[in-house]
Amino acid sequence: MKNPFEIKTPEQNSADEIVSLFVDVFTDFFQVKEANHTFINGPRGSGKSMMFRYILPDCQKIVKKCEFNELDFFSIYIPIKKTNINIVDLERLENHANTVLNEHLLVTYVLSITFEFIADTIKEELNKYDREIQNFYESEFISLLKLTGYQEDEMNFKASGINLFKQMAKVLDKMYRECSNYCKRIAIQNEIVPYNGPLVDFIDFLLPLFQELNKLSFFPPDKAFYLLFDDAGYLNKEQTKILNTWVSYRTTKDICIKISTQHDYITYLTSTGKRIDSPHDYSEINIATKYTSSGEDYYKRIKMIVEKRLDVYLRLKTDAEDFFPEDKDQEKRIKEIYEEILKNKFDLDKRYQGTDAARRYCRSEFVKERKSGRSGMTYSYAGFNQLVAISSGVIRHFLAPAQEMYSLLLSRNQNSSIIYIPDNLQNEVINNYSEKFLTDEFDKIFTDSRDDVAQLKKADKLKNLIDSLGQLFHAIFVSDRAERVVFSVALNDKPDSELQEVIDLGIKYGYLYKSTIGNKTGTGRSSLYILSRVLSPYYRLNPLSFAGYQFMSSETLKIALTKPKEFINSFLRKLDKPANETELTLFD
Amino acid sequence: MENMIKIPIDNFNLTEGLRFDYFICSSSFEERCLTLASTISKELIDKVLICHFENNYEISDERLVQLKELFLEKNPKIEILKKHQPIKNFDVFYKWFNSFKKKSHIAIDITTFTRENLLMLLRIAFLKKDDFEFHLFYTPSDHYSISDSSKEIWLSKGVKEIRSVFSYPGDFSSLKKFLLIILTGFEYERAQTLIDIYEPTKLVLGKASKINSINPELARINEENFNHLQIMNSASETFEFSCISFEETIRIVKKQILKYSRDYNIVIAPMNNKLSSLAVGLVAIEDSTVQVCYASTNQYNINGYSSPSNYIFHIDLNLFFAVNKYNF
Repeated sequence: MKNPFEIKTPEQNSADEIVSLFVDVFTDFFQVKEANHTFINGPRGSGKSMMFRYILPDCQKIVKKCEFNELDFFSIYIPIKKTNINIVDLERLENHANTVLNEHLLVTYVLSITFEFIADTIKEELNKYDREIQNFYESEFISLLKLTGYQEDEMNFKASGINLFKQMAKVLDKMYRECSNYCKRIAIQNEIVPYNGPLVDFIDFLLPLFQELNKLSFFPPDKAFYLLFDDAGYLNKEQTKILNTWVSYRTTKDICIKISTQHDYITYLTSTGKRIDSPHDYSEINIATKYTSSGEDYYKRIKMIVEKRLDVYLRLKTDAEDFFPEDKDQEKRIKEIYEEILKNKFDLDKRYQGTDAARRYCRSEFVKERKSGRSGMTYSYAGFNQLVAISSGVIRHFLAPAQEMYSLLLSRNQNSSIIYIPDNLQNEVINNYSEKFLTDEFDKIFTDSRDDVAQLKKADKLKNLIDSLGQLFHAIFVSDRAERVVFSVALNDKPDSELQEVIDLGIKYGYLYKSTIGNKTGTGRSSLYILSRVLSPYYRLNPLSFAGYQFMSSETLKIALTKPKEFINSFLRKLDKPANETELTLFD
Repeated sequence: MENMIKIPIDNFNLTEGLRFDYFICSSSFEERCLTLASTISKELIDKVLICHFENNYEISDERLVQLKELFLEKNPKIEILKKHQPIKNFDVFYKWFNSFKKKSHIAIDITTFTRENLLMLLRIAFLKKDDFEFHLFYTPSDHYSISDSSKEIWLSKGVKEIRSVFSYPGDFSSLKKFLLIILTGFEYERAQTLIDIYEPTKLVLGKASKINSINPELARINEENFNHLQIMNSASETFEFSCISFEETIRIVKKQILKYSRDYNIVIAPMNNKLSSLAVGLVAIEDSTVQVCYASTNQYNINGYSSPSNYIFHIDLNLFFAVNKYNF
């Protein structure tokens, strides 16, 4: 039975499937469609590849109900997998024509994919343009190829349009493999053997070919080709520098380069040692930052994604909220507490105060009640609302546990049909997911750091910082404070380098997000560091509702790095006093 | 199993007249690294090389001391290997063989080498097969994760880094799709991480066959984990392999390659025991279009992991190369 939450790679989906499943995000990320170079940064699973898949010509043709040459742009998908262009053996090139050979590999890789992609996308329709394509092949492709020193008998090739594109892809693939195999040979032998094959680069080969391709009548006239490099963080350092050099050429009239990364892009330096910068050379999108600052949009997106998936894969028309029901007993009791607070705080002149207080405190009071009781029951994180909030703006943090819930239920139910996920199963899976998010990542950080004492200390400090914040926010949640849902720390001064480095490490691993708010004096902005809500179940926090932030000095926060107990205790003592805090919107 | 002999530890006898000019082994947190070293007669060995990773677990450092003591009279050479620099390790291995006298007999205890180092050694053995006689030894585990209850069995956690194994890069066409074959073990979460990172167009999952299982309880856990992995990847295909007969696994993996190589670039991830990893290496040596990958682990279960069995496998590698015509 199909798992509706299975996370598929874009190439596993047909254009029709993509168009039926995709939820439009381009009002938020309009730069992706604009004719410029763009970096799209986002954690794994935040929807980058899906965005790329949606703007490919086959999908756009369906969406816009038009011909290929009527599209706003013609994009080409260039997947950078861990297995293809970046293999360990290329590291041996370090001192041996590294740039030249890597650029040749990158150009031939991109072009062979491009020609194959065109053949696979436009298909037999290309045969309507046989003569035009034959002319391109002989006058442009072969002419340019000859300049590189390439000599083969098959150059006098006559065929249909589609086969000519396939032939060009084959020639370039052959050039790619010959060079790649040369690199592998010298890697094992570890001695320099002269390279006698042809060599190509961006300026003299790739760019002129695209300029000539653009003149073919089945492409949108005078519109740039978009090259979509997916997961460019998997390129090796030299290949990354080469790609940056291409970005620095500003060829957006002919080619726009769209680069997706998982915040793991190795360098922004070019092959000549210069740096590419935004907005000068490219525009930049950070998906997680966008969604953590706009929770309502995100909620609607996930709801649409879930309901579309249930409909397409299970033929099940249901609300996402019904498919992921809450713990009914828990919600019933929370509702009762809500009513009690509303009644107690009712003031005819300030009616909103009662509602506001009821909404703010009902979950906190419920948790306190559970804590003091002997039922042994804990707060349940089931329910679509909570699962969306926990996913912290990263779609995969919703889909991955949902996939796990569905597959577990399927195996326990012996494959009978599923119309909802029981709340206890949701709670079990999301708790495990939260714990795994913390422990697995920290295992990784500690292992990464084991060879480096300074880095290890930094990892220790980060663990202390995250634990301190998690425990502090829990203590605030179950306190009697006016604002009990706190997920972030606002610093009223600049952190020193030690604290900043630890915070940066937390951002790199996805435990913290960075934002800014107006400072207390209204004279500028302060840095705001938000704890990922994926950690809510682990630290027993309320992922929902309004969230305030805790102002503190860098000096105070720094105590958390080495003395977490002292840090928490200092706040526990203050918790009964009124805090200087400000309310924020749902996602800080 | 004509090229592999099973030798009981309490009656450890090698083919008459067989002596080794070099004995190569690796320290580890696993007790198994000591089994062959403490069993084999030191009179059969001339020189000893012990590999040891830098910045290792304390228990591995202790095992290194034990290994040194076992070979004290041989004045063993300790080779410190780098954890995340496979090319440097490859060069170290290559240098040894260039310095060894020709026609030497070399014994390699592959039991506790990482899969990556084992595969690189295998590649060099293949390249140097005309110069030396290679004998591989492997001590299987008796059972796993001995300090945990079987329900919570774990050998290692997390994936630190995934990379192609140096000298097994494959020959990939940019025009083909990508197929990932995983020979799974107990660690299905690591297999899932590999799938998530690689995002293959097609996935083929290999499961160790029940017949070769160490005990029925482990077979049941393995089955459960494998089913879970299958449900998580509903479009995947499956096959069974042997983790005892490496030659059987070679035949099975080759069959899979034959089925898909026309349309796919193939990457194989050996995530089960060393014998099945050896099989994958030998397949990839024969078919250079195939890439082998390695998922380095974050954390090993140093308190448990495995305990040694009471027998050791001996593989005459040159005989295997000769019988199977590895003369390309």
